[in-house]
Amino acid sequence: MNFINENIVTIVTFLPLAGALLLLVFPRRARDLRYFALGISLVTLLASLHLPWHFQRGADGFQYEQNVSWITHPNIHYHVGVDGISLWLVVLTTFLMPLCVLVSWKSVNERVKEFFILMLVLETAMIGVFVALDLFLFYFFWEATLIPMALIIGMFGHGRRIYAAVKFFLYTMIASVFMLAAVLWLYAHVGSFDFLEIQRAIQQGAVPGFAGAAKWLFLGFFVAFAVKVPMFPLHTWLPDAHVEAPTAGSVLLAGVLLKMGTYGLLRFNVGLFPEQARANAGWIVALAIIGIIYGALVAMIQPNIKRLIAYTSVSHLGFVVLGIFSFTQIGMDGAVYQMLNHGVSTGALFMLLGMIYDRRHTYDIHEYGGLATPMPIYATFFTFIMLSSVGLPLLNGFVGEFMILSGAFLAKQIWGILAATGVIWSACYLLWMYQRVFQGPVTNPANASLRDLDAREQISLWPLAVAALVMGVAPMLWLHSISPSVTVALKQFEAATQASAPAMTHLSNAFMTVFGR
Amino acid sequence: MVVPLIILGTLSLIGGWIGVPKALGGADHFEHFLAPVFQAYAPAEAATHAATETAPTEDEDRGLELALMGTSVGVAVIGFGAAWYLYYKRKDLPAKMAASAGSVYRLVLDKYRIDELYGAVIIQPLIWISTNVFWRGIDVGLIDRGVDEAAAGALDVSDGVRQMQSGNIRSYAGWVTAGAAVVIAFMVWRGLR
Repeated sequence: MNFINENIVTIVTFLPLAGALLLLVFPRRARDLRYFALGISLVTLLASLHLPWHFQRGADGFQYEQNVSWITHPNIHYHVGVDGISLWLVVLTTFLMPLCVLVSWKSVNERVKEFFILMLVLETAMIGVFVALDLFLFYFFWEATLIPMALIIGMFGHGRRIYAAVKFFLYTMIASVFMLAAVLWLYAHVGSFDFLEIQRAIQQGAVPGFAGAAKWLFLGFFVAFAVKVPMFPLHTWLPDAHVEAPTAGSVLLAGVLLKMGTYGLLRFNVGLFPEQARANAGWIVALAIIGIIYGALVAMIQPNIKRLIAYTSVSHLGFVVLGIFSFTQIGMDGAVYQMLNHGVSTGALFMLLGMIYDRRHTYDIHEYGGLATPMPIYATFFTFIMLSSVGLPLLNGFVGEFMILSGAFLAKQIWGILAATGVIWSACYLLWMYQRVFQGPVTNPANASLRDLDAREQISLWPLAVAALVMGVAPMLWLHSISPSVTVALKQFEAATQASAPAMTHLSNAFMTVFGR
Repeated sequence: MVVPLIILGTLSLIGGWIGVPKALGGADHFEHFLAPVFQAYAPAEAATHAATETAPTEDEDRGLELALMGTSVGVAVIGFGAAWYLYYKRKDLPAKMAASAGSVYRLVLDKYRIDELYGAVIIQPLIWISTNVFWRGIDVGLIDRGVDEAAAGALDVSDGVRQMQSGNIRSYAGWVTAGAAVVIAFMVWRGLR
């Protein structure tokens, strides 16, 4: 048992990579490749479930830690571990991966081997980002996600895929360079890449020249994460990348890659530079709220369904950033929870869009209409997932949005009021789109005899639908482990900024009572 | 539609009996249904405030409740009767009334055209602004154009600089000479200052 606990993070991280290496030597028989990729991703999912299963709830700090020297000079460690915040993001990644393999079953027919190898390499890189506790290792995994994702878009995408892939790559790459500069500055002044050591050094004021550099370090990290989130006005790579990406690429892009940005903001921007985070919260929240409203308005009028859903991510991730920078327990809990919710509901929406694309090869809303008649099962799944994205009570989106808005209200009422309009906008753009695509008579004869979802497609959707319901009804299953880690982060934050957060016990207690402990 | 209406009618008949008000001699099971949820968080001062306030006597309370009940039942009965008369007994009447009311009838039928007003004042402008200002203007026109221009600019600059690498030794010698001349000119200028 000890061996497993000490190595589980490494096992989960590198299982997909090992699978990818095995795939290299496989003969090019598409069927075998698919089953093998599915098997590997399922084994990874099972292994990752060890993490929440044996997680010590309420314990401070990181668990399943592993820290070995990797390169002695410069002093780089292979240091990994999870806390309540990263724990579920790892599970979200491993949970989405088998579903991505399933939705790619028939839609990827050429270069199947390359596709699944890239997917598995991407999985390792994504998990690595969430578990890395050494800034060099983090940066390594962070950049490592770019290559497979850009290749997936560029090789397996639609129409203007090369343009989208290059744009995605350069946008994120250029922004990441600022983070690299900040990381190197920290190394030069602390002598370590280790997240915990750097954090301790900063808290003790033992970093020479930190006072002057803190602002720039904060911005360096912030730019890299803001592009990834993406925050207005750095979001324009996202619609292009989504529209051209194959379905599985979109699912992982929206489901996991965007969370890397918000995770980074929470872990590094707030964790390492609390004073700067406090000082800059005003304009960051302003950008988040602009993102919520602007993203929703632009989503509303998109003629292309996939572009529409892409812009909704700008809006939804604005909520997450708002929750983080509300610096309240309930708001930050909600932000972490909303990251998971967005992964489930937007991931499912992109899967649904992929299924209709497989049949009609278009995302144009004008091409559709009355789809509920030929495809009732599809329409039912779509309704359910759409409502979870809108934030209907009893489904997951509601819990996250409610907590974030509560936190925003506590921090500053006007933030809560403005952001709450986002809830209305999300109902506007999704219901309007639903009306145009699914309701009324079938106007386009090409849609009249579309076949409904087959067993494989339904199997790939059920886990997400169930997750949306369970996460909406029993959020404490997740918040139990998220909340203590947020408390730790918030305590450190308050100690550094010498300011107590607005009273939040009343609301969060009420919340706990309603949803059970 | 008949079967669902029968089911709903039966259910409302049952539902009504769960909450027979005290005024009619029943026990209202719904009244305090959610009380435990709020008990723990009810602000203490509100509770004491409510206690000091003089509560209305039982009889006053009962009279008011009965009056309210009577009114609402009366309104329902009148509505029921009017509907029965107009749509069952004298089916010709509604059309005549509509004709005699003219434009007022149209206005009511169109729900005072509130939807049209809302569409013209709020929805259409919002869609126009979202499409032309936010999406085509800011998103595509400003931000994305800036990104694309930056990329194109990098290509153009490289394309210009590339011309220097012609492979022609004589032109390289020319560049070296020109560079040397610039350096010497700079040094002379520094020396003169």
